[in-house]
Amino acid sequence: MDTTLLTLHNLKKTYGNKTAVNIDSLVIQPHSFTCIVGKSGCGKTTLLRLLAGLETPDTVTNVKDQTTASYSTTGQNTNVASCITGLPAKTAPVFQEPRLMPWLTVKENIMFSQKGQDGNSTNSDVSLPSLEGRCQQLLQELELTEASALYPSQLSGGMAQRVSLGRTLFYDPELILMDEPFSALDYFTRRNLQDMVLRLFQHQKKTILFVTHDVEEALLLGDRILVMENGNIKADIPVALPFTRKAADSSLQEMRQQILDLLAE
Amino acid sequence: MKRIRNGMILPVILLLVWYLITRMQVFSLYLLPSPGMVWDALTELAASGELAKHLSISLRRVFFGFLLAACTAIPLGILCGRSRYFYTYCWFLLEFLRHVPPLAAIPLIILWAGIDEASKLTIIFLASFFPLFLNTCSGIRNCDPKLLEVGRSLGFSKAQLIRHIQLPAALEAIVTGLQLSLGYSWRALIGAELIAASAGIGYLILDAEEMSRPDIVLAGMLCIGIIGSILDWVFLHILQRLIPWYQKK
Repeated sequence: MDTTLLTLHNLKKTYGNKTAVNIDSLVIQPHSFTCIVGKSGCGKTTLLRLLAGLETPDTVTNVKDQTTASYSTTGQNTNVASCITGLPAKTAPVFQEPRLMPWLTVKENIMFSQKGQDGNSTNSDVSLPSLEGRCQQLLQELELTEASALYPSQLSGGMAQRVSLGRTLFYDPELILMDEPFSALDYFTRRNLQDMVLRLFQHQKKTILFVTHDVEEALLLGDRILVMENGNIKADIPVALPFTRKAADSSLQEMRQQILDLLAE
Repeated sequence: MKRIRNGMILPVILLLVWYLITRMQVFSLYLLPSPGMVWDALTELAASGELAKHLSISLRRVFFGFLLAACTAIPLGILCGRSRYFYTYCWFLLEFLRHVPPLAAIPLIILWAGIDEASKLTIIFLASFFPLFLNTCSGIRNCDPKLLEVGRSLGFSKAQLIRHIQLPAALEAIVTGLQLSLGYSWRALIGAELIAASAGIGYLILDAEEMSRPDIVLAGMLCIGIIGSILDWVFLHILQRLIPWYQKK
């Protein structure tokens, strides 16, 4: 039981007559970094949105799981049907765009999830100074300390995305869903942020689901790569290489070719 | 500085032309008084305290009418922007009312509310309600769904979504609405005072017309334009102070 965090079973989502996601079965281990690659329109973003509770899966009537998942009491994931079990109450996405609140400073944006805790008794024991300290630490880790009083309109794309990442980390979710978070950034900023995410993953032991269309990125970050096609998992490839990886590594190159071949079929 | 300089060029030319025309006596001075005469009328009005009296009455009316509109239009706009259900019942009536200029209702308003302050307040209220209400409503409704998703994914309740995302996101639209409303109410007030009043800057103009004093009419118009601009400017600067991220754009 320890080795399973999340189980997907007959998860389906259709828009009209187009099937976006159709996964028979998928298990995600805790503290894993799973990368999902696939062509655009293969359903990878929809999968993340389903897990984030932003989309509702098609109801599957004949599949009933006896294990009742511990759904969030905040009303967040209550619409998730029995096709997703074990979804942590604290699951949060990092979106493709920064999606910062333009009226808040960098620091306020990072602490944004706190506003959702108001009047929520479960978190009243967390004192304000400790939250403040956590925010400062995040600012430091994300190299944003000097920018903490700036507004989003004053930030570069890379900084804004770091703030967005910081906001999700401050919420302290068990499962982080990343939807091509670095795709809009230039090469150097992207490399920098990839290193940052890797460091955070190693230190904080989160479970990460990372959607990308960049095979190289998936190989550098993930300990498991899922290739998606037409809403289903086409291949499940473990990457048992130690961090930090080099893109030029021969076994990585081999895998890269393997995945590219799979995608090209 | 350059903006101010460029903006001043046309008024100065206009003033010069005006001066030259009156100097050459193209029209009778009764039809077009000279700039000097208007200036004299203005200083005379200012010195006698009459101008201050009329202006303060007009400004007070605008202030209270505007306040009344803001207190009703913003909450109703939020309600309407939030609830599709509420909106489906209201849109037709609102659309109809929006197109009826408050000045068209003056005869009725006077009949119902009399010629005193109540009728002026009603007119200002009618003039300033809709721009503010509609801006608030669309500001709430046009909130970026992507920002709302952020709130939802962080476990926000419905009330928290409104308070922490929709309202701040609509603030800019509300501010624009307030600014529009203020301009509308100032203009509507003058209209109202021109028709039925015993004091106020509009009354001053009407009174001058009846006494055949075109210089005072022009002086009054000058005041209306200047005060309107000042109101707008002051208002915008107060808001920029109150909303720090607004000016940092």
